[in-house]
Amino acid sequence: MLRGRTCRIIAPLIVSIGIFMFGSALAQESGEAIFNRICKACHTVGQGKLVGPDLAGVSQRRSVEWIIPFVQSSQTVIKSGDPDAAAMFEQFNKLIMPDNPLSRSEVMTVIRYIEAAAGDPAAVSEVLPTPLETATEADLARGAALFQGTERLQGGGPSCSSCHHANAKDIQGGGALAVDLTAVVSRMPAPGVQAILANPPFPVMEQAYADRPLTEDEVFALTAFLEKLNADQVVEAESHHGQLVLAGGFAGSILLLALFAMIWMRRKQAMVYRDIHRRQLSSR
Amino acid sequence: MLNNFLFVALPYAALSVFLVGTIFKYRSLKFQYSSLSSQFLEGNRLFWGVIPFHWGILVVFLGHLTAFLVPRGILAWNSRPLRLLILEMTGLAFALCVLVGLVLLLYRRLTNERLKVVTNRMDQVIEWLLLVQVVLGCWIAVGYRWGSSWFASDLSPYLWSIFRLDPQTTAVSAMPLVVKLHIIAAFLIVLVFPFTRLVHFLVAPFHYTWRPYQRVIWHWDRRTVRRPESSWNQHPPRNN
Repeated sequence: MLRGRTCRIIAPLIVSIGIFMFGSALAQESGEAIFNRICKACHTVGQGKLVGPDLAGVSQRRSVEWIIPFVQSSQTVIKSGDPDAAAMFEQFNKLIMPDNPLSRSEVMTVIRYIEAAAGDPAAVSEVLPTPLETATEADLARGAALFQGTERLQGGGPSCSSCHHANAKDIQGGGALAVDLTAVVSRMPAPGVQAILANPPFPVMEQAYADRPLTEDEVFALTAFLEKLNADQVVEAESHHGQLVLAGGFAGSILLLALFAMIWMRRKQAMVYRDIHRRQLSSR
Repeated sequence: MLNNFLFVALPYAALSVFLVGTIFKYRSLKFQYSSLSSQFLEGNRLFWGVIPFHWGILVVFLGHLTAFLVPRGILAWNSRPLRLLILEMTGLAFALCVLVGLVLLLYRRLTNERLKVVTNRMDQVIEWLLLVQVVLGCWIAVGYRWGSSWFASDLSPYLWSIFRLDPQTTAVSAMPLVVKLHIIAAFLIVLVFPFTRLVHFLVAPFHYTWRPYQRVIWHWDRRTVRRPESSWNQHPPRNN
């Protein structure tokens, strides 16, 4: 009996592990494709600092043996006590570069692509302009509406406030899953914010906008809105919506319990014996 | 590797065991389970456990199911801040009802002498699992808002990817620990499901909703029962 039960549990386990192992075979992408998919949101090649450093000439500055583990898991390298990695982490506002599930050969393909692109003068341009310089009042208002979600994103993705809060008068209780974006532009240049919005490098955000990316004008309006918050020197302030939900939840549950009590007011409250027994005692 | 085990292997193992286990149980051992109802004996004590727990978990479960089936609908509803707030508060209110009911039921299960006799190990396992799951859920609702929106945009695609046999785990792997634990506990519940009394969920007595009231009448001699001088020695049939 025991053997039969163990077998019933183990057999599906083996089947599922098999499915999982065969399913994860991946085709090799080109260096450019990987760069655009993963690196581009935070790094440029020859256009200056974005969220992270400019990668032009990276293979001359660092050895390949240093780059590969750093790309795969930057935090592991930083925590191992590497002084260069730690200094760079400090320099770039302690923004964590997410781990990338890339093989050695895939990182090498990307490095070769960066070397080729850095040598191409057409790819190198001057300083990138920021949206706030050209944004109108209407753009800023639209940015706030898109952030809150009162204007839906055209692709149908979730609004920023699903996960992020920003301390602005138009934003009522943004989410608490991800970082507060009030002062994001002080942590990274506006083109960095734009790049992240256009091509999110953080896994949770990437998934949320996987097949419903933001349009160019939405990225523009949102970045301008966040830049404006930074320009006005608005400081982060915790939203009270967590407590509000908790209070509402408590009030609601008490209301529900009261409702249950009312609906089932005439329920049988005790065992059938009791009434009969009492009647017996009272008539004695 | 750990993430792959927890978010790929565990879900498939859980779903396979769930499917095979429930079909096997239903075909061969369907009369093995009983709720061993004691409602006639302790209607008042049971009431505050059973009613809030069942109505709460029904609504909370349907909420998760809706976000899984129609994520776009949830996002559209949440596009107004007030509607989002109402949805989240309602969800938490029902979740707290589940918590109140479950704590009372668990307390009763652990202290009631009569119940101890009929409690098996899996009853305990499933109740503790559910308690952990509900506490984690309430924690997420308050600490990691707005769960309804990011469930629709991140966890719904993950769950669909499992059913499409193309599991995408990068997003769930990057979720906060509490959310990960909530997902893992959910699959553990699915895993042990066929071996617990929770199987009654699959044969929910929906016909009860429109079934007419039943009158329960003891088959005993009323005259003897009501005679004041006689001591109490009559018993109803012991069949429930």
